[in-house]
Amino acid sequence: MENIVIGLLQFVILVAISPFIKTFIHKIKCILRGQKGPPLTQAYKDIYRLFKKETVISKDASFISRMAPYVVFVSTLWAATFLPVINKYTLLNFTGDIIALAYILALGVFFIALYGMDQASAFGGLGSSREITIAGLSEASFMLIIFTFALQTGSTNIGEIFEKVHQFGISHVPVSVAFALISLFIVSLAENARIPFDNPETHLELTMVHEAMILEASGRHLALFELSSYIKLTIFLTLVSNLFFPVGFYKDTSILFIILGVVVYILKMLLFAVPVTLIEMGMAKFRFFRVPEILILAFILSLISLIIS
Amino acid sequence: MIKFLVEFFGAMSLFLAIAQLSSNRLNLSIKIYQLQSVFLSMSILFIGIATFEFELYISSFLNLLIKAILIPFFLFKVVEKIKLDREVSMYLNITNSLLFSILIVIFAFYISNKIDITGEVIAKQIFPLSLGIIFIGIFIMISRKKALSQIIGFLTMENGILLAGTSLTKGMPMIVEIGVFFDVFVGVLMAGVLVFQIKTTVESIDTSRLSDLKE
Repeated sequence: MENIVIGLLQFVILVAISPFIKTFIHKIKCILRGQKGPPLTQAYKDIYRLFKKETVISKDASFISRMAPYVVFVSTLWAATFLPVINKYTLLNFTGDIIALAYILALGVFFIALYGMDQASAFGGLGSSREITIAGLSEASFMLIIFTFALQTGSTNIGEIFEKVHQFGISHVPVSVAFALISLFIVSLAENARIPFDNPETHLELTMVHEAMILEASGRHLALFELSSYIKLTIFLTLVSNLFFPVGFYKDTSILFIILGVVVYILKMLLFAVPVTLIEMGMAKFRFFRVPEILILAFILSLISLIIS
Repeated sequence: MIKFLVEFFGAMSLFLAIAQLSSNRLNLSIKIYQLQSVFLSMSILFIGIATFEFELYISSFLNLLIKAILIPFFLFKVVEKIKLDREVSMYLNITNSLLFSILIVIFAFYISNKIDITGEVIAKQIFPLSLGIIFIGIFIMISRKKALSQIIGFLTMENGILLAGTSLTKGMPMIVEIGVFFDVFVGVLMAGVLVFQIKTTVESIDTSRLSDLKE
């Protein structure tokens, strides 16, 4: 019973914090540019406003367009129920491991690509083909990083991986950790459509990837897409922060440790959001044909980390 | 903890050597080299803290001064002077050279397993990492066409040699290190002058055009 409560708590924290993280990244970017920036609750307001609006669907749309937003949203939430945030007991701890998490997220990518092609808009198909290219190339490095940690800890269960990493401390296998960190960071940027790969703020025709696919969405459907992209970013940041900054993951389930864990977790998320911001400020978006080269770089680094681990 | 930091900064240097292979602009190459030198001097600084050798602090500082400030400053000047010629051109394209670099790194780790290092070693993993940096530097020298990229390959290789030497021997005698630093600096200056000579002779810094016949 206690485990279910803790699992539910972690799930709720992860979903509740995700719009805040997105607005935090945007806010830091605005401050660095010398602008004032939106208030930190802006993303919650956006989602609320979109939920109230009417949904318009093109007359050429099939049942895919009605179904895809819900499938994407549910698959992202489903992946979130696997992910330990502050304790190893999660809601669906017994049904799947870290490989299941990767492929449930891939299910969401598949349906969002179908949605882009469904409404017979030229931009949608363009965005879908780009998204599938990026997702397919980053898949391999993500799996290799997972295998690196699975080999080191002797398990593919996420809770056990996190617990072992926190027991050893970061200095157990330093060299492979450094390579895996950079590789997972590149993969996270690619999967979440952040700046060197895609610009989340623009609606310029030639450069958009994620925005092109959901260009036709409106109202409730758009809100679901936006919310699931926020949650996906938070899932990746949680994974990175718990693997490479092993503090604040406790076995103890007393109230005090849970509160401490939540506070440390939020601080860690804000800490790991800063490099994302700095990269977005310091770099321009890459030409699309340069993207495979950078993803090959991530693949090479993850392969090195697997070999020397 | 110090062992972790030494190896971490060494690993970052190897990462930047691999990232050097993926750069397609001369400006970006020089920036990557600059960052690599900063990480290298951090690594040397932590070796110094671990072994209580005062000379390594001086070595780390000189490394930062010459390789992270003076040489990049000079190379940026050279790139500025040779206008319209900023792309890196190569015999093997970026994807293939990245895939080749994994073989280099595996080879470096394989042969360093065979070598039996006796005596006290601060961080065991740093030797294969620096071997990897040396081999990647050589690979950059032979796979790039432009003279400036070849200079950067040479400098990357020199960084690897410095890291290997420092980690194995706790630093060479001070006078030798200062000699090596000024040797590299003067070498880069002369290579820069040579780049201008090549530019005025064949109107490009592409060394593959040096073998063309002229009437």
